[in-house]
Amino acid sequence: MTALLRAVFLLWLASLAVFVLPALLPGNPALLALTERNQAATPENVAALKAEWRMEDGLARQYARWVTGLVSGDWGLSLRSGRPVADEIGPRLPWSIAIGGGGILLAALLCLPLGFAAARRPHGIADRLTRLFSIAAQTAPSFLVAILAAWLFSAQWRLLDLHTGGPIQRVALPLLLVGIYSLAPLTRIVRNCFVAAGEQAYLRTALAKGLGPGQALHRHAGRPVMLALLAALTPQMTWIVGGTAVVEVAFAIPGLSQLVIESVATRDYSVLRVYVMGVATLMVVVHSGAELIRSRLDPRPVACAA
Amino acid sequence: MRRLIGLFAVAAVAVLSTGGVLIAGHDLHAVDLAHRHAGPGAEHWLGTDHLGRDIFARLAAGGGRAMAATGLAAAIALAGGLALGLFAAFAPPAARFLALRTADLAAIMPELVIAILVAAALGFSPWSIALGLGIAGTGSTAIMVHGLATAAFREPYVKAAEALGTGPFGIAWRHVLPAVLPPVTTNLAGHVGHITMNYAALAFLGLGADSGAPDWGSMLFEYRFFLFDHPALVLWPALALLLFVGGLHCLIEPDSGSTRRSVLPFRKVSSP
Repeated sequence: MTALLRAVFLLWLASLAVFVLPALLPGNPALLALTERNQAATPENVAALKAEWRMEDGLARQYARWVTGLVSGDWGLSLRSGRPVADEIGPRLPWSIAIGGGGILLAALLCLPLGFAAARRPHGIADRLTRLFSIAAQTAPSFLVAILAAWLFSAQWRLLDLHTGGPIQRVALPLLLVGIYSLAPLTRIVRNCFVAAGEQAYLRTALAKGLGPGQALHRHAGRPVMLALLAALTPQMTWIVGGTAVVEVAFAIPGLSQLVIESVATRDYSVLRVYVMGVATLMVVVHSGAELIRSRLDPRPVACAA
Repeated sequence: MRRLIGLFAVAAVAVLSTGGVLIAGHDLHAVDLAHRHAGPGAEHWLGTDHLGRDIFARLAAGGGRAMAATGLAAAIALAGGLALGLFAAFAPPAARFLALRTADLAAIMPELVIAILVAAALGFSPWSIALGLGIAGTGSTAIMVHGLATAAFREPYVKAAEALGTGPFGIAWRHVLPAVLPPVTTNLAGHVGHITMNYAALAFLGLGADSGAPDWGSMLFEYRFFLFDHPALVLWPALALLLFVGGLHCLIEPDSGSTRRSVLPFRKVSSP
């Protein structure tokens, strides 16, 4: 119950920040919107537009109207195009969800066997390879790798039709890239946690009972590793949102990223506010959900971080 | 050894960037269509791009901006995190709750999203991006500061200072800050490379700077079409970024090794 209250409170804080900050700052979306509509920026036109957007009410009433709209699903009109924000976001959302969600799913599934293989023999081949891989992922910027991969796969090897192909052809490479970038740190965390579990007395007991190192890890280190993975997945989700945005642009995917960039350029606050609130909701839900699962699995705090 | 290599890489990029702006002597925006895609030479050290602009001059200018933005973002994260965290540690429960939830929010939101929001409000400039990245760093810093400060409160020397009648500011300045600062700055230093990378990513998205001003990230975006015919155009900004961020990682990463004996490894294990 307190967790739920806390989540709602966080979202309320986010809505306040998202609503109030742009409204207080200089910069006039009305002028930009008028240019977009090829209208002269006369005082009458600006006043008419502000009336259309119902901006002459006080900030508090605007906020109240906005929040009730947000909760009830009426997200308002885009300041740039005049279309409903939901219609702007709707067709782009599946692309972003496919790339981001698919990427993290791939990483979460693959990091367990890879991390296990690396922990099985510290300083062995698997350990060295995954370590090299994680250093490479830390230093090589995702957008650079994305450009290179796009060039190799579509221009050099002609394996994928990145710009004109079907959705699967277009999504495959970005999804893989996001997945690989998340996989690198997660694999190291799983590996470190398996190794840390190897230092525990209960594992020595398991070895004394006659289990092999691999069997012992598999049977007795599973739960702490799952907990550490759960703890690591939540910050990874934070990366996924930004990483997906960058990769989408590199592959010219018509996802949310393009819409957000256009909206920043035209100060389309109504789209940006909904986008930021969407991201905030996702993050709060992920964090609260992970915390809930964690407290169910193990009431003690996690000890074996990366 | 590793640190030496890191130090060398970072110093090389820093010196070339600051010195490059002074000695290159080329106008960043001087278009010279007669000398498009010129090779490296005495006139243009690293050659020219598709508009005949000097690559070295653009690279140096981009490096200077990236470093300035990174420094500013780190400074904002440190100052803001210290202020918010110490406030939370000293404030009454209601204010503490508000301060900590604000820090939570800044910590769980993706850095890029916060930076985009700030850029949308303040306009495109390296400073608005640095402010956004700094605010994003404030959250986790504040949470860490709050934890360390409340731990310091339990120390006998703080209790003694309280008993002697030292005010909250005196305690914060003389007793809590020295306990809080070293781990917080170490942690933040570990994230400096991350900030540079985020700045480059935002520049790549076209949100880093006013259009036309060179940034490593925006150069990569602008030159990506020339990967076929003139790979050097992509190579140089990529190399600068890799050298700088990789160097920072090598320079700062703490070499912590597990000292306990594990039953699994049959040799000494060190964490990555």
